Amino acid sequence: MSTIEKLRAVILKMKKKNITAANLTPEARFLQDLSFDSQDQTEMLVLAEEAFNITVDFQDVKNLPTIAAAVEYIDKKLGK
Amino acid sequence: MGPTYVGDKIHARIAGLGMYAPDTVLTSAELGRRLAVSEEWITSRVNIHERHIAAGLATSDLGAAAAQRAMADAGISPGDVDLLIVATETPDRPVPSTACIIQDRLGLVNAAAFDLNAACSGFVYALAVGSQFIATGACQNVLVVGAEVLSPYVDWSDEQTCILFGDGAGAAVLQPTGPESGILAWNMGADGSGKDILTVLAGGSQMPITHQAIDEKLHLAKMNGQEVFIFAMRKVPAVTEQILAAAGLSIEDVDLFVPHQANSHIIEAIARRLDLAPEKVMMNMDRYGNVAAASIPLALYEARETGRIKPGDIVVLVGFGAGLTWGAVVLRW
Repeated sequence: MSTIEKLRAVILKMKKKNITAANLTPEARFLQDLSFDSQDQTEMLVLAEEAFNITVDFQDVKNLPTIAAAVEYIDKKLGK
Repeated sequence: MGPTYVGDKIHARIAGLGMYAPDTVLTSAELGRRLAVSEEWITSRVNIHERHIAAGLATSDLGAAAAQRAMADAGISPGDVDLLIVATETPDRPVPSTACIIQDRLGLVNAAAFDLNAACSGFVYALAVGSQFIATGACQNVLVVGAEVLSPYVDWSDEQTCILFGDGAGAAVLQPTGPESGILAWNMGADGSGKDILTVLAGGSQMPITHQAIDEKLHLAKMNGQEVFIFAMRKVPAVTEQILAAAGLSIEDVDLFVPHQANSHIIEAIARRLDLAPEKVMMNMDRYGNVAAASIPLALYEARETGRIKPGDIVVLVGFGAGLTWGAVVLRW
């Protein structure tokens, strides 16, 4: 499973209103398109830690703007 | 992860529960007026509509009232209590312990008494500690109290934190029972590297109270909310799964999950991660706020009173908070 597919599964597990796999495109912006607040992004990243077996440095990831940026960060953590 | 204990022949069961919330109620509408924000601004952030405020009462006043009700609920007399453990981070005085003040108030003449500070995990820590005295046969009636008067430590001008906290107390009587019910297993742990995430800096030996400390508000609670959220999300689901596994159970067996009532966002995120349906998750912080060590007994009491816990149910209590500390108890009601 690619990073974005796995990240989609993580975000869908958060059961946020009006979010489906279809609108979790690389370009989707957390704040504007997905109505994420800072707690939502923190929740997503802690769930991603478990899903990807990584440790997120929360100081480094303030305001990841898009799904693509989150995928890039996770891939970097995975050494991809 | 910290030590885990799985019960042997003698378990401790909760034979009585009691609670006490002081009469003074501070609604979020009133607090909003003081802070010049709307009630909705508060409730949308923390889902707390009101909290009780001690308004001159001490932690021992609240704790003694809850303890008295728990003893009546268990049908025991003051002289029956062998051990009193008071979980609190807001003792009446640095010395003696709040437990000794409550012991005197209630006439628990045969009880040893001490305080236990594990912040918001305190009640679960105290249940774990008290249950060991039952399991060894050393005690027949252990009175465990979680009592807090947080309001004097709240910076009422800081709208990020003051909307969260309240005052209150809850208590439980532990008695021995067989291996089928009561506390099946417990875990407690700590990570002191997080000591600065939620702290009161001044007022202890490290930084005695001075005029300057008060001017700088160092005698009030400081909290990094995001760090608490990250800690809770990383730790609580993992500890819950591990303690259930230790007891030979899984998340599907849980009838009621009673977490520390930190705030509804944290609890809902934890419940989603654990795939727990909302009806299996106890929440009552909308009427009490975060009452630290008193949160879990207040929630447990209400769960029993409203019929959300029935005999035979599997109940999981999980505390987490300053220290950092965490603790979990699995019991069959």
